[in-house]
Amino acid sequence: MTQMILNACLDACAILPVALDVWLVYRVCRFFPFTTSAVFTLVPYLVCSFSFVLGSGASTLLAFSLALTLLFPIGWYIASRVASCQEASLQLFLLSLGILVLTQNSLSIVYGSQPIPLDMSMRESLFHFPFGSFGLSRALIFLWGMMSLALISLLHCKTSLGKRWQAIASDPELSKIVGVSIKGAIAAALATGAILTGGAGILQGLDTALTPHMGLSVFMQSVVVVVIGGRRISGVVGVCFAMVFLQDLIAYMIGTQWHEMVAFSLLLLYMVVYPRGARSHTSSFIGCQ
Amino acid sequence: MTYLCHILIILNIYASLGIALNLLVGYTGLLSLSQAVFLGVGAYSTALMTHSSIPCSWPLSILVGIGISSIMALIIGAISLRFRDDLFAIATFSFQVIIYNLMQNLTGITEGPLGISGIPSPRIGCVVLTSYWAFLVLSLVFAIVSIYIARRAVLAPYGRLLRAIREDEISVTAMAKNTATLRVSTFVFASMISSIAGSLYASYLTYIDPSIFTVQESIFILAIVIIGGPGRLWGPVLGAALLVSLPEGLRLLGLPSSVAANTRQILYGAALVGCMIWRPQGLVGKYSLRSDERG
Repeated sequence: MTQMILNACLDACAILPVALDVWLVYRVCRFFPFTTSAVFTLVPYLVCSFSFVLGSGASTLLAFSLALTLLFPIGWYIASRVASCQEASLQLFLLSLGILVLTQNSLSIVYGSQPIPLDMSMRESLFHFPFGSFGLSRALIFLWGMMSLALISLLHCKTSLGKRWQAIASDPELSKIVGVSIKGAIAAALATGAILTGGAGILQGLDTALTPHMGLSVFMQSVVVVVIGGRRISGVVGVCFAMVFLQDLIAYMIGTQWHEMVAFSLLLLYMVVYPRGARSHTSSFIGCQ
Repeated sequence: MTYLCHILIILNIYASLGIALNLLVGYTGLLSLSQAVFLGVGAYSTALMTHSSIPCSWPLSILVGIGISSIMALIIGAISLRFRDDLFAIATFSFQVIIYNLMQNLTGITEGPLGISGIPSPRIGCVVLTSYWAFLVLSLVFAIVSIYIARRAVLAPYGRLLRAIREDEISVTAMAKNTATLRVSTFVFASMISSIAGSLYASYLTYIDPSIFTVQESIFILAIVIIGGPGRLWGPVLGAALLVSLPEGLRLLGLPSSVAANTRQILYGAALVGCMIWRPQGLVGKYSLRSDERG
């Protein structure tokens, strides 16, 4: 049982950076970015490609730079759309969906659909504790999750950039009038989110293996977390841990095949019982419409 | 000629699915990502009922499929239709994932990933439709009937109300119209057409498994509507013609089947991205997904 709780905590830390990215982009740009899923998959594949030639550090840097460069025009387009105060959440939602389909299938063609392990040695070196054990890759996932939480909390609550994000989230039109650089703030939000998600993707690749469709499942779980978690970071973190614990418990009791179903059943239950909670995300954006 | 028949049958089925979804996306402004669920329900109803130890007639299996789809659409609609825009899409997506998981894991009923093979050809009275031509006529009749019914619906006051809901739901509610009932009824109606398409699909392919009814399939049906043009009757027909026939051109390049499947998906993705950036109203559509360009 203690091992299961430990595993649940580590699994939650694997989703947390992606959930925080989705939360940030949804708060600032008002759409669910499927591009998150594309970044989660693209960055580790690029790392995998470059690591044969370069070292792991240089390949990671190069992969991030290349992924950000590739996605920059899309990010800039999204920023322009939101900056012009046009309510276009459906359009951006579908645009990001198209990018995801493009990325997944391009990766399938280039690398094939079979799982590719990034570095198996990290999985095999285990840390033993009285309450359980986990591999080095899982330890890195935990650290990255905590770092992501600290970074987003710090940026969102303590910096001028965070203040700009909050202003845009509550009223983009007014923010524009008072001189907030909306495009810059949104670009910063997208880039910050992409770094967190890309890092989480690399660590996921180290822990399990790379597949072209690995991003979608994590993204959808993140959406569940963000809808139920609400506007606060603490809500997102709490729901993330609770949902993953429930998923792991059900997997332990019944089987892993119901993993995704648990998350979405939880979301639907929440939408049935407390629909206002789900809507509360968008209530503050009505001024822009 | 057989190959051309096959393409046209698939085109007719997808055009019907697009027409059904267009009622939701184009006319009511509801972006549903669960259309593959209803396609699957229709397909599994036909497969299970006509393939069982006491086989039922094909029309009866269609009716059962319609019944199950309608009940499911009522449940999905009652929950999802409290929301709009992306939250509605996420709610329908959730149902898509849940039903797909059920199809995949309830192996006692659906045979799971192994699928159901040997689905018999449709029998209407004493006529058994086995040839490609017979299927082509049947699918064409179904597509024409779908267009006719959709046309009657959108030209009637009911259709005007749907468009009004899309533009400004609060105003429609202020005019004492029950928008919830209208939205749920449209959702149920679209599910019924999709279910019949599923029955046709299963009978035509003679084999189904859950991988046919994934979220990618729902995205594909949505792409047909978005690229063709939401809010126009002929938009989904054009979208289906483009998205079904254009990737067939890849066969001329002699690509391996695994690569061709991904290339097809890349084409859909690129078309979706292109449409969203340069032409959000689709090729022939008049309803833009940008609210600032509406009305």
